Amino acid sequence: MLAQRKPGFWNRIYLVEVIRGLSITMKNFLFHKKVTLQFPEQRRDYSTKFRGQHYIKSVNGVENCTACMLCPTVCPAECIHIVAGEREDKEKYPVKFEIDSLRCCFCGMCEEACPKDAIKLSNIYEMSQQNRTVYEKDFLLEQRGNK
Amino acid sequence: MTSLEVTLMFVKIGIVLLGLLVTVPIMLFVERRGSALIQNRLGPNRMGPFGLFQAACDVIKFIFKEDRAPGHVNKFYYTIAPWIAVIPAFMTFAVIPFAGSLTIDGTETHFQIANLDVGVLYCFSVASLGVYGIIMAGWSSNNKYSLLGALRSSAQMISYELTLGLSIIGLMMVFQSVKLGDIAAAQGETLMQLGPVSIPKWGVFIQPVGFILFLVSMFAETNRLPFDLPEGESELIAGYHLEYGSMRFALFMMAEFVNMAVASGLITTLFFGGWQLLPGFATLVHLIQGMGLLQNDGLVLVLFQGMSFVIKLAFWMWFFVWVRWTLPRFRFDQLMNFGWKVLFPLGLINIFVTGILIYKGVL
Amino acid sequence: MAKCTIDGKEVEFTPGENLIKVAKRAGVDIPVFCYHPGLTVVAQCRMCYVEVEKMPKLQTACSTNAAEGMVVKTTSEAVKKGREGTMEFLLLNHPLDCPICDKAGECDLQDNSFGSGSAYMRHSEERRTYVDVDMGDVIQKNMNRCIHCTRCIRFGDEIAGIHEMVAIKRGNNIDITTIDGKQLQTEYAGNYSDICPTGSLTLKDFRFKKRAWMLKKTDTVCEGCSKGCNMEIQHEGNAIYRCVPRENLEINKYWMCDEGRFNYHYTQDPARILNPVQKVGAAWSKITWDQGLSALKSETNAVNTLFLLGTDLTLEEMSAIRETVTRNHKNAKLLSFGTHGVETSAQDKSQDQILKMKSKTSNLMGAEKLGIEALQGKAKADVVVVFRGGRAQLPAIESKKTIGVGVFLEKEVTSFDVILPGLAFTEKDGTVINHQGKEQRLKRAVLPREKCKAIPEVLMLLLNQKTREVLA
Repeated sequence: MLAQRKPGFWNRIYLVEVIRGLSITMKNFLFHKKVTLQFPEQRRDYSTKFRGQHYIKSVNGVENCTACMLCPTVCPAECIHIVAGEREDKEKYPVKFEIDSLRCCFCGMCEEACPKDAIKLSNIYEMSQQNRTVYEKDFLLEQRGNK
Repeated sequence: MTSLEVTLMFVKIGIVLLGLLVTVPIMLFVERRGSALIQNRLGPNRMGPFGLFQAACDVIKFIFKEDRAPGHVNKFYYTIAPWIAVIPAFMTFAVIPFAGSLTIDGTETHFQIANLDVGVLYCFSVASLGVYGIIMAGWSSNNKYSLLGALRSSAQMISYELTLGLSIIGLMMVFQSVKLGDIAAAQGETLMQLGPVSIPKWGVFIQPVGFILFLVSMFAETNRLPFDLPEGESELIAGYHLEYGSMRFALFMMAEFVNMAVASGLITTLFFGGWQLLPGFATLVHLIQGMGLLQNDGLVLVLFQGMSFVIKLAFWMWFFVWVRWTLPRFRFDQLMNFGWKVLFPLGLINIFVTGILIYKGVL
Repeated sequence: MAKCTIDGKEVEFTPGENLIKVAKRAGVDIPVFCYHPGLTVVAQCRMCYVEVEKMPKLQTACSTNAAEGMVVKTTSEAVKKGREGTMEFLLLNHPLDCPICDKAGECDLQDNSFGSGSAYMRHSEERRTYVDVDMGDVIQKNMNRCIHCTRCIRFGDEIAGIHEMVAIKRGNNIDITTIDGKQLQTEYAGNYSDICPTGSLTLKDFRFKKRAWMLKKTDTVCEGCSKGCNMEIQHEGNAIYRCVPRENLEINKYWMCDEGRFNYHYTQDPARILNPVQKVGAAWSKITWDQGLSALKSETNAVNTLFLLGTDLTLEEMSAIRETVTRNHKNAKLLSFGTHGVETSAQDKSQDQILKMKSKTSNLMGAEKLGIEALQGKAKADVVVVFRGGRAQLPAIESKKTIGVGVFLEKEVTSFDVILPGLAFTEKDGTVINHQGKEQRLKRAVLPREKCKAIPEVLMLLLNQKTREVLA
C-alpha cells in the first residue's frame, strides 16, 4: 500500500529542506570517504572463483584437452568450436580449438563439464579488444593461472 | 572622450571578456570535480595536478571534433543558433560593476563597461534574447526532442522572467535607482550596528523575500537544475542541443556557464553589495596602503574591491553547481505551478509590503 | 493367446518369443549387450537378468522363452543386484576413455552402466591392455574397450557369411580378433561398428569427426542399389557425417552394405559440379541459370533429340521429365539408363545373396512402371540430354551436343557441353520403388548447395521464360 504522508508546514515551505539537502551534499563533498578505485594502480580483489579469460591447461607442454566436445555441447552461447584430430603420442587431440570471446557469456559450464580438467576460466578480467576476437588454440594454451 | 577614457574602456572590456572566457573552463572543471566529490567519487584527476588540465583537454577535444550537421536540419538557423545563445550571455555583463571608481589623471572611471541609465532592465532584456538561441536550435534541429526542449524553455523563461522582474522592484524602490552602479554603491552604508558587528545595507538584508524569489527565478532563467527541463536528459535525451556536436555544442555550454556568471554577478550586485569590500578586507586595505607598496592608494582599494566581487561571484557560481547536485529536477507542471501560483503572488506581496514599509519610513 | 506377466503388466506373446521381445512390447526395456534381435542368442554377457517366479535363480531374459502364466520381475532387488554385479565385472577392464571414444553418446555400455551400474568402483588393479591389429579400411579396432559380447563374431558367421572374427585365448586374456590377424574381407564391415555395444569397433570413416549426440538424424532410403535398404542419414550443419541402417524386417533387417553406407561421399565430393557450367575448350566456365536454360531450350528444339533419364531419379522427377518431353518435344525420344548390363528388372538379381543387387540404381522398377524404355547400347542422336540423380552409370554417348542435368562429378562428364546442377538423394524428397515393388520415401537431410536446383524446378523454368528472367 502506498503510504500517505502529509508534508508539514516546513516541508511545504521547501526552503528549509533545500538547505538541509545542501548541507548534506556539502558534508559529502568535504568529509565523506571517496569510493573511487584508481584502476591501473589499485585493483579490486576478486574471488578465486571469478571467471575470466579462458585457457587450456597443459602438462609438460601437452594440452589436457582430448577434444571430447563436451564443452561445445554444454556451452549455452555456442561459442566453442573444436576440430578433433589424431596424433602419434596421444589418441585424440584438438587440431583447432576456438572460443569466440564475444559470444562467450563466461558461465563456466565448459569448465564444469570438462572431464579432463583442461578448459579453465582464469582470474584475468582485462579482455577488451578492438575487433571481434576469436581465441585460437595457441592463445588459449598460455597458462593463465593455476586453477 | 579622451584617449585615456577610450583606453580604459578597452581595458575594462578586455578584463570582462577575458574573465568570462576563463570562467568557462574553470566551471567545466569545478562542475566535474564538484559533482564527483559530492557523489563520493574522485572525478577527473589524471591530467595535471588535481586534474586541473582536464578542462583544457575538454576544450581541445571539442575543437578537434568533426563539425558535422545532420542532413535533416535547417542549415541557416542551425548554424546561427549557438551564436545567438552565447552572444547575449556575454553582452549582459556590460552593465555589471565589478569594482568601485578610480581617479587617474583627474579622470574618474567606474569599473563597469557601460553605466546605462536603464541598468538592470538592460540585463533582463538582453538576457531574455538568449532564449531565441535555444528556440532556434530546437526548431532547426528538426527533431521531436529538441523541439520539445525548446518549447519548454520558452514557456519557462517567460514565466520566470515575470517573477524575476517583480522580485527586484522592491529593491529598486528602496535604492530608488535602476542603475547597477548606484545600487552597488548604495549598499556600502551600514544597516544597523549589533555590538562590534556592523551589518551592511546589502540587498539581502533589506529584501530577503525578494532575494529568494530572484535566486529561484535566476536558476530557472539559466536553465540550471532543478529547472533544467529544456535539457531533461531522462525524458528529452539532451533537449534543444541534441543534434549539436563539437564546437557548436561547446558554445551552448559556454552560454550556460556565462549565463551562470552573469546571474551570479547580478545576485552579487543586487543583494550582496556588489564590489563592496568583504568584512575584514577594509583592514587589509589600510595595512597595504600603509605599507606604501603602490603609488596610487585608490588602485589598492579597487583591486580589493574587484577581489571581493570575484569572491562573491565565485561563491554564487559554486552555489549553482552545489544546488545542481543536490536537488532533483522539477516536473513541468510543478514548474509552471510554482512559477505562477507561488512565486508570482509572492513577488506582488513583496512589492506591496515594501511599499508600506517605505511609506512608514522603516526602509 | 498365451499370456505372461512382466512387471505387473499382462502381455500376450507367441510361443518361442524370448522375454526381451515380450518385455519390449510391455514397455519394459531390459538392458542387453550380447543379445541382438538379428543374431543368435548366446546369453554370455549376463546383463539381461530377470527374476522369474518359481525359478530359483535369476534368468537371462534373452535365452528364456516366455511361457504361459510366467511372472517376470525386471526391477526387483535381486535383479538390480545381479545387473550391478555384471556391470562391475564388465567395467573391470574397460578404460575410462569416453571423452575420446567415438561410441560415446550412443554406447550401450554407457547407457547400461548409467542405468544399472554402480557409481563407485572397488577395483584398483591395473587394467589389461592390448596392441591392436589393423582391420582394414573400414573398421578401427580398440580391444581395450571390448566386453567380449561376440556380436561381431556371430554377425560375420550368420549374416555376412564369412567367419573372420574369432575369440582366441581364454578368461582375462581373451582377444577378439580376425583369424591370423588378417584384414576384414566382408563388404558389410560397417555393421561391425553398428552392432558393437562399446567403442571397440568403430568406423575409420567417422573417426573423431563428430560426437554422436551432435548429429541430427533423417530417415531415408539408400540409393546404392535396387534393394532400397532403409537408412538414417546423420548430419550436422548441412554436412553429412555418416549413414547407418534402419530396421526394416522386410527389406534389409538391421544391416547395410559398405557400398551404400559410404555412398553419400559423392554428394560432398569437391569435384561435384555445383553451378551451371559450359564447356569452353577443355575447361568449364560458369554461366548463369538463365544462360544454361536458354542453351537447353534452343538445343532441344533440334530435330533429333534424345532424352536420357537415369534410373536413380525419383518417381516424381521421372514423371515430370516424361510429361515435359511428351508434351513439348513430340519428336524426341525418352529412354532410361542405369547399370551396364541390367536394363530390366528381370535382369536385376541379387549380387551376393545377402543385400546387394545387380542394379546399382534405386529406381529401376519405378522407370519400368512409368513405361520408360531402357537404352540399349550407345546413345546416338544430334542432341542428348542426360537427367541423372548421381549414381546411374553413364552410357557411351555419340552426339553433336550433350547436356547434363543433375549430379555429375567433373571427371565423369568430359564429353558434355553444358551441365545444369541438380540435387543428390540426400537433398531431395521423393519416392523410389525397390526391386520387390515397394514404394519408399526419400527425405531431404541437407539443403541444396550453391546453385543446385531440383529437376522439376528446372523443367518449370524451362517452360516459363518470364519466371526464369525474374529468378535469374
